[in-house]
Amino acid sequence: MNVGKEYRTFKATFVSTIKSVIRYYTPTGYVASYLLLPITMIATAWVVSRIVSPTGSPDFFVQTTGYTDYLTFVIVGYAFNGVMFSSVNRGGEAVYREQVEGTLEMIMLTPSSRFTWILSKTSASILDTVFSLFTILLLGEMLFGLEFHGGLNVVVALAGALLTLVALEGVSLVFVGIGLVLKQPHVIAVLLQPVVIFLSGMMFPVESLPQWIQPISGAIPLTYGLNIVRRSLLLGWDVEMLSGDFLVLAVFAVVLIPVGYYFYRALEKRAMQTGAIRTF
Amino acid sequence: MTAHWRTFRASIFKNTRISLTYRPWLINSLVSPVIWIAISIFTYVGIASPQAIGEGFRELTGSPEFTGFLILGQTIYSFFTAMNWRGGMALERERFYGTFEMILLSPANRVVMVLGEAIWGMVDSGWVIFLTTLIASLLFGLGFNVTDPLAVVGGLALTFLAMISLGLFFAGFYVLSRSAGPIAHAVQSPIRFFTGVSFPISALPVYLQFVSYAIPVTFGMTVVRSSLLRGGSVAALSGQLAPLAVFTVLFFILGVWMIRRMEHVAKSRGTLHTF
Repeated sequence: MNVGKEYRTFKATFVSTIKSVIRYYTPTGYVASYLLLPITMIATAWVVSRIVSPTGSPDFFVQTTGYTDYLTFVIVGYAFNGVMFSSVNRGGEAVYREQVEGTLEMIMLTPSSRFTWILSKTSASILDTVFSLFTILLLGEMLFGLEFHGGLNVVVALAGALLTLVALEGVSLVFVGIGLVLKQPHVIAVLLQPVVIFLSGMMFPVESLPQWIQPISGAIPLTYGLNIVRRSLLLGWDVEMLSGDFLVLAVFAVVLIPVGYYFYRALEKRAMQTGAIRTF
Repeated sequence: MTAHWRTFRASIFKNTRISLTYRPWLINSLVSPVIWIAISIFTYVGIASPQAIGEGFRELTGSPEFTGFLILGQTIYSFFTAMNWRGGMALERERFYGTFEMILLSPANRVVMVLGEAIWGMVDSGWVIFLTTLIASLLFGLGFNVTDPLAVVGGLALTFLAMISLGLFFAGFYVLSRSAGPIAHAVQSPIRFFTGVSFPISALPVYLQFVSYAIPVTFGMTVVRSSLLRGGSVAALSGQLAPLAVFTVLFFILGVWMIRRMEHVAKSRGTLHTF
């Protein structure tokens, strides 16, 4: 493997993707997407919590989860919404855009490593996601009184968030391949978003789901990532207490990335055989 | 009129072909709303007992029933999002595909073209949304209480017309904003919040309710819920139907002006084809 070549591929694709993301979001778009959207979503949770309980934290919720405040539970959960959506949408969307702009065939004819190219596309989008995550947490703190344990707990939460992103990279690879074959990959992303919101405990505890659904929640990396971030920031749990979730995420990362890449190559081969690369 | 009919028909025909080409969207349209309804319901039942939820709703609406409230809220909201992306993004899509200039050079009436896209959006998404509402009703339990069918039909029809007018307005607005995608995406969440998809409007502070009642979808939501769940009649709902009619006309006029303004800017500045 020529490291210099891979680095050049990664850097060129990373920079062009970042520029494309920044250009897509004009100042108006940034304000609308990064401020308006999370504020109204969190405000919805605030209103709902006030309907069912004068304190905003129903006894049922506190007893089920151990968290003392429902709104902070939701703020952290919603901050992760972007993580999930980014992982399933950005990779596929990035390839789809190359198809629409007619540059995909040229890219595939270059000697660049496909894995490096896709990794740089999704990594650039992760920057955008991390920015969104911190913006939501900051908004939560400024507007809704989000309080969390600082110090080492922040480090633990960051580690959990990053490991989740790595684990979801494999999922992203699969969606790149799906985008090549099925076209319009955001169809799958738009479908999966509510599924993951429902199953991962983003807006309400996983424990409140019917028993037969809960094992499905356990098959989603985001469920563990959310657990780590919430429990470290809101309950002050340390790495030792969260070791189980970290281990599961690490296994997901190790398994999903090669599996995801394998599926991507299989789908790319199919797209090449059927001549679907250039159609969109 | 013949020319307008041809433009309208061409919009419908084009979108039919696109819908049939990208069949995965049909699966998305069928499954996604049911899951969003489930999220709406579990946002309540996942954090509080049914008694607590019922008491909260009784205080605000006079009725402890919340499942039907949430299902219908999501149903009307699904229509809005369909309108937002089909009708509202009609011209922006043409920009993206590089056909915008051709359309502006053609003698086709732009308003009729967008109306064709918007009406097709309502029809294409309409049957799917009704089907998902039926599925959700069976899954989560929804008891209808209709005493005046005219209130239901009239309320739904006026709500759809209001949304089509909104779509017309958004079509010109999004192109002029030069940030159509992010704004179209971001506008959904405030609309969801202020129109009471997930909670009664009366749960909001009074100063925020003014914002709610500046949005036509709010009236549509109230009319549909009242006529289907509480036996509301046309007479009883006239206070909601009248503003809805006014908004429909207002946004239609604004929409026509916005599209004409967009075309004027496109031709005078020559920048609307750029991204």
